[in-house]
Amino acid sequence: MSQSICRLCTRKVDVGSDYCVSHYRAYSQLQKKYPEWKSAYENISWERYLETIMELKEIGDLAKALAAEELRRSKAR
Amino acid sequence: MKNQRILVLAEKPDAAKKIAEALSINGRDFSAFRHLIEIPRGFDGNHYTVCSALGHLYELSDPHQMRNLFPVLDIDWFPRTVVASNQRRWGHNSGMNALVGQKIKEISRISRECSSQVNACDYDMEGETIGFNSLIFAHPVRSYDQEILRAKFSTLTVEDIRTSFRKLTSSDPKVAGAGRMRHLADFLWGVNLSRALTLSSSFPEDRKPLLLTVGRVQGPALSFVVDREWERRIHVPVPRWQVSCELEKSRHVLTAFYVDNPIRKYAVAREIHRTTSGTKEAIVTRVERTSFSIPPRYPFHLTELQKEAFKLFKLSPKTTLSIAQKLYQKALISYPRTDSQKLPEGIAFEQIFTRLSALDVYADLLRQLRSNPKRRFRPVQGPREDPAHPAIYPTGELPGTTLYTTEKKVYDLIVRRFLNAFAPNEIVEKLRVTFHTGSFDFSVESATILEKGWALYYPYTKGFENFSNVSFKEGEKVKVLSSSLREEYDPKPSRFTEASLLSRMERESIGTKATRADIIATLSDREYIQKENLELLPTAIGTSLIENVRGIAPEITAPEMTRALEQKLDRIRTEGSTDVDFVSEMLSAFRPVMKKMQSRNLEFESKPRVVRRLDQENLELGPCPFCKRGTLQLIRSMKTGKRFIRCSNFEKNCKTSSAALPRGQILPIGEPCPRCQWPMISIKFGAKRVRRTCSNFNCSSREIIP
Repeated sequence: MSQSICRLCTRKVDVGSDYCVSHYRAYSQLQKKYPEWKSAYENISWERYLETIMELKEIGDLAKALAAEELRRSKAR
Repeated sequence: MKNQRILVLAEKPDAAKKIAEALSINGRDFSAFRHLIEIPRGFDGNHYTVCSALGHLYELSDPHQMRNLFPVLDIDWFPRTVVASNQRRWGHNSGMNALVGQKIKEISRISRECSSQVNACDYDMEGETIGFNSLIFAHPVRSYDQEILRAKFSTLTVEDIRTSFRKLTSSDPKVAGAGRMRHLADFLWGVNLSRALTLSSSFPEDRKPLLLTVGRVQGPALSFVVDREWERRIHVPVPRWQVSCELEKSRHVLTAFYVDNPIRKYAVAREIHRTTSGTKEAIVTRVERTSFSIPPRYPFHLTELQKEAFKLFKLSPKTTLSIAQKLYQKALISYPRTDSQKLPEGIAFEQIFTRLSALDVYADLLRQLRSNPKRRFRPVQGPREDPAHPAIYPTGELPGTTLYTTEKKVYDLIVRRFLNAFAPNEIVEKLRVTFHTGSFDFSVESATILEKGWALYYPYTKGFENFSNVSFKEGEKVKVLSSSLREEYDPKPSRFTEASLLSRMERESIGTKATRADIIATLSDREYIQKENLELLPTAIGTSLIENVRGIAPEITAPEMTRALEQKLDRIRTEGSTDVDFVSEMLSAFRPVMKKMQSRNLEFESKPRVVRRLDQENLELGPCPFCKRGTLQLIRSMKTGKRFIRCSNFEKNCKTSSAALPRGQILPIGEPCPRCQWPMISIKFGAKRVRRTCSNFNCSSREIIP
């Protein structure tokens, strides 16, 4: 698999990222909201944060796919 | 003026008939022949010939009709007959071609025989443009503003029409000029952008090219819907907590909320809940009573009427406008395409009340209103103004024929809103009681209507929570029954409805009050958006269109450009700035965009069929039945251009895949196949044929279910 393909779909990746433009937008949103979760739950870990938001019905579908992928990568490390 | 022959041009046949009835002495003394209505002796002794224009008789068109070329700058006004015959070459059929030709001939003949011409089209920019084109092209005059007179009326009642004919004014070339320039701008942007997109997304072997259109208003309107969907798709909810406690006082149970709800920290929320859970009593620390008055709702302007009709009756803005137009043509309401929230004093309000009293449904309401000592004699006025027309109001004419259900609903809404404007304020008392328990403050609020006002006439408002029968004193103790901690998450941003999209377009100043509803309908007709339980969703093709256009010329999807254009058109209308200035300013914005479209054309085309099948790219069909974690996606091969289905985890470990039909629009249904658990899909062929089947090509259940 070429490095220029998004990890979650077949689109080309955005510059300097592992994801295409659409999935990168979702990734940025995940990162942007993490500090708010950390503040709400007093230092919730990145993995716990991803696991929790994936279960919520309010989450968007792209954000959910990204959370699943990031969780998988995080566990693989 | 007396004993003169005067040509009167109306915008539509229904309006022409109403005008003829008003101009004749007894409402019947006229004869209709060959699309003309002759009134040999009108109410003022003149001989009137009334003709209707059937909307626009002249339209802008490209004389060369080379549809595979853009940009087209060589455009001119042509009779609709010519434009329609050109369109027939491209498969479009306009049914009224012959009738339009006859109308143009008749107007041309009569205008030469008459001593004066009166433009009695709707008094707005579009009406002025229709009148200008129809009369000037039929019989050129030296000076439009001096030789063509203008009848200005806001209702089609006999009184209003006769008054306007007694006070005919000169025509306003600035308004006609602004109207013509609006058509020019719409044509230049709409036709050229649509051609550019269609050409760049078509292939030589296509039997029928995919028609992609985007205009200067369509682009931003669609981008609002697409962007909102993106916001929803990447939404990450953030938690918040609400602490409340149930209190008992005089056998009444009340729910009091923590004063600083919502709480953003779990530890804080848990501490408040823990502390209050252990308490049995709360002390009333403050009882605040404040009374205030709520003034009546402002009279209707078009957008507000459309929004209310959608909220209350789920009528689309386009339907509401078309109903309002019919009510206007029946002389039941004033001109609906207005931005005004004002009802000027010149309107005979008392006369309207008296006439409306004849209708049983309003007789009681009007009796109450007229006998109310606090009623207003001057209606409440909103801040918005329209130089041409007042707010929408009932004329007092009684419906001669039975109205359809939806017509009745809209008419009733307009009448009630009109009556509400004369009613006194609602006097409301708000009670806020603050309790202290477990070192935290909780409060409860209620409101009571002390004096009924306008809500009696316009009862479409939210009610108030009321516990005024329970009294509280500062320092007294109440029983705490329980305390609860509720976790909530920020919801996804709401999708647009037709009404909220209309509001957004109005707020961003794109389109006009008359065209916004049509733009939304066009987006739906072109299948760029679809309705689901009144919510607007962008289709895959609509999303891809915006993404592609944004990549080439983002200004087309941003509201700034079209807003600036509207402001320039306003300058022509109000200050009479010249057409040349407008055209040169518009071209300076238009040329760079067209250059970008041309230079990016090859790249557009080189995408292997993706652009042509924009609607099919990586569509998610449902969960993968094997790995349970991935999603089955419909994918088009970058190499072969063929479609297939595979799991989003294909590159990792899940090898689930299947072939897909090469043609047809595939959409997920949202339920699994009963045999193999793959997602069920619908495949749409053309406008009507739809197959419902399993997405697994090897599934034994793959049979066509109509």
